[in-house]
Amino acid sequence: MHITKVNNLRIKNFNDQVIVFDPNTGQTHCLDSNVNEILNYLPTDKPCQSSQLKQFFMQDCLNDEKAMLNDYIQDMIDSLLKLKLIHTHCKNA
Amino acid sequence: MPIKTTLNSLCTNEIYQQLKNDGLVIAVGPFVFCIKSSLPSIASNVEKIYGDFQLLSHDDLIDFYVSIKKPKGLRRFIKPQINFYCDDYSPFLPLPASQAFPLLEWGMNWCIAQHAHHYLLLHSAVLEKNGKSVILPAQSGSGKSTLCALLALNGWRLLSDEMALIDLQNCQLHALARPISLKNESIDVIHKQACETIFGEVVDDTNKGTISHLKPSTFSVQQVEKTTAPFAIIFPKYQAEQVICIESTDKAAAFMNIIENSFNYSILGEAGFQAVAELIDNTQCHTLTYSNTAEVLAFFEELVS
Amino acid sequence: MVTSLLIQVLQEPAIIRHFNASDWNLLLRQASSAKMPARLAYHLKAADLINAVPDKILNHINSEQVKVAHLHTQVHQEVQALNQLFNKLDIKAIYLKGTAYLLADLPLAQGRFFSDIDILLNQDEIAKVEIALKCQGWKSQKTDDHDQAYYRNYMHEIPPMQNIMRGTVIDIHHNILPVCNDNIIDISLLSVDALKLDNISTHCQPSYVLTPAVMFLHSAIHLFHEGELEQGLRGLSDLDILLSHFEESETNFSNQLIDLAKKINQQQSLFYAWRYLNKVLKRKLSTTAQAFVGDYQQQAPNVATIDFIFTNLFTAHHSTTASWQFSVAAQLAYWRGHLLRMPLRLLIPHLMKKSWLQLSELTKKEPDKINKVDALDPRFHQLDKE
Repeated sequence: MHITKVNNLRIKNFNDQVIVFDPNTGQTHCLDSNVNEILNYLPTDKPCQSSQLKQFFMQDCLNDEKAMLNDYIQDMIDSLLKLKLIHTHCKNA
Repeated sequence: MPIKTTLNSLCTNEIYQQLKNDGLVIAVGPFVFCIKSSLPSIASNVEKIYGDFQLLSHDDLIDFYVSIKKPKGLRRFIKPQINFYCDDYSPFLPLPASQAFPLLEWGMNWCIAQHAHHYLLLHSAVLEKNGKSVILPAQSGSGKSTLCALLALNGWRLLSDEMALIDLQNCQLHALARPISLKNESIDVIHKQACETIFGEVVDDTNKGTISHLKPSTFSVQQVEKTTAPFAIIFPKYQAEQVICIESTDKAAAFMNIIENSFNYSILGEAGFQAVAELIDNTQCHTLTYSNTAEVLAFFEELVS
Repeated sequence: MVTSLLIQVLQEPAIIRHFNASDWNLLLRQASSAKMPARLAYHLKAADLINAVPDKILNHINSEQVKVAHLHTQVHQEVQALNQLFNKLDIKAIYLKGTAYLLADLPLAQGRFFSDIDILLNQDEIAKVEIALKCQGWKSQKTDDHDQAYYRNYMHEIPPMQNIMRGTVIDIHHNILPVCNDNIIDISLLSVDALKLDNISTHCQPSYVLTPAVMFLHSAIHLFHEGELEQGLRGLSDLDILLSHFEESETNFSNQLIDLAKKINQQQSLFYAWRYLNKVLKRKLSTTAQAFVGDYQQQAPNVATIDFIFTNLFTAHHSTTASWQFSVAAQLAYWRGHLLRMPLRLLIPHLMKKSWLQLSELTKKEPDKINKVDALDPRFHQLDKE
């Protein structure tokens, strides 16, 4: 899956959470810091492979943690997709 | 400083005639309303409750033309009903004629909520003392209206009982100083207070029970043009027999709570987001659970001392 | 007939320099009732007069623009989702009216509020689009069998569909005018050259809109077949701004319009558009347009009556513009609108059936949309009506 972050997000940081305003949808979301890490990693201009993202976040974890972390990160990606803060890369028609 | 003419410079008959004919023009905080109605209950309540408000005329710019009218046809006479109009438009279903004044109050709130998007509008009470303003978001079970009335009767300047107006340009709170709407037991609680209270007509056939409006203090109305920076947001919760308990609110949670309590955040876009961010940054946010009047008043005094 | 203050300002914006508070109050009321506060601001800005507007009035205009900006955000989101759906079904849907003006980034989209998303499809594509929409949470707004039959048998559109989550409404058209109308338009002549807009960064799939001449004529046909003209002045103002924009961007736009109107037998709508832009808004017409209007007037039926209707109704529909002429014109327009949509042989049974159904209470009046501002709505303080 190739993913990019939407443009022009506005972020307000608090301790463990961030508030994200998306001018594209007009929606406001409260995200925990882990989800925000994922969001921060993603570029807006060129698509990033989800496997590359997962590799980045799992680089220091132990082997027996990898499967669980993989699922956790996938869940967060799915949530961000649902919130339309990220989208899968469109192929040109 | 030019002296303002207030409504109480008019006699009863003059008020009635103006309401009946071209409309009575008064300043309500930053807004100007032209009120029209031939109903005697409107005239008597307006005279009683709005006496301190600045009287203007049709030579001034007017924001809203509101009226309370009886419909044509049988409902004028049989189980009489009334309608609220904002200019030619009637946004609500008709109500029994006995609810004319509450309907006018609700209608005026509606006008502001629909047309004042140069403010961030929050469903909350706002009061000020010692130059410090406190916002009380109106969650259900908060006892906000009673609390607001109690504070207003104990030396706090009332900015609003229902709606915080936060200027999107500079995040200052603007006042309305409108009558405080009270229901059921709250009316008795406030009546029993030692200080002088002036109430509008008690209307007791609404399905939320009995409603009445408390006249705002002359001091609050005279200071209505004074804007102020928000100091604290207190999320109140009334719980019978609960010893007073104050907790700091997580700021991210406070942010989301505030936008849930806003009338117009969802349409303001980025301007709304920035305004709430600045509001949360500049205020202390607490949750307050209480049951005792004396304790809660003491808490607020301490907060702004 | 007294020209309303709103029209006087549209004709000559500079008069606001001499306004007192009373004039501003009247102007704001009329503009609000005509749904044109932001349109008024557009003209004042264009005439470099916006600084002459008092802050209090500007606040109202800006509030309106906030609501419109929010609407535009929502519409862009919906269009993105709809385009994905159309792409999957391999259908070229053409956006019409307010949505089209927004997608094409036309000047008249600024501050212009609209309530539904209008789409033009081929009639044989409608069934599969309807099914696909239903799978995505869209529901037909009309549940009454008579209403459904009315739309599907006689009209140029199916009953509007509403998204159950977001409340957005889509109007799906397969023609511009009702198909029971005696003058059916060959819609393929209008949709064949649809303009592809693929430069909007938020959308993955392109959107299609009508070409300029078709867009203008469509707007004119729609306006001059309307029976209820509460927003008639706004419609005329739309035509005014469209004309200004396209006269600059297109070559020989007047000739393009005349040729198109002849092709689809809608010269009358073009005649009315130019005539009332000139009569009501005092717009100067091109030489070609003047010649066309002058010629057509010789053979146009009932010009005096039509003049009476439109010169009285293209104004703010407000207590300050009420007159007996207005009331008569409104009645005439109502009947004219109905007759234009439906020949008499169909109209009378249709109206009789509707009133019978209402009398026998088989149809329920659509409940008013509950204001989401619950706490301010007295209906929430009055849970059961007596």
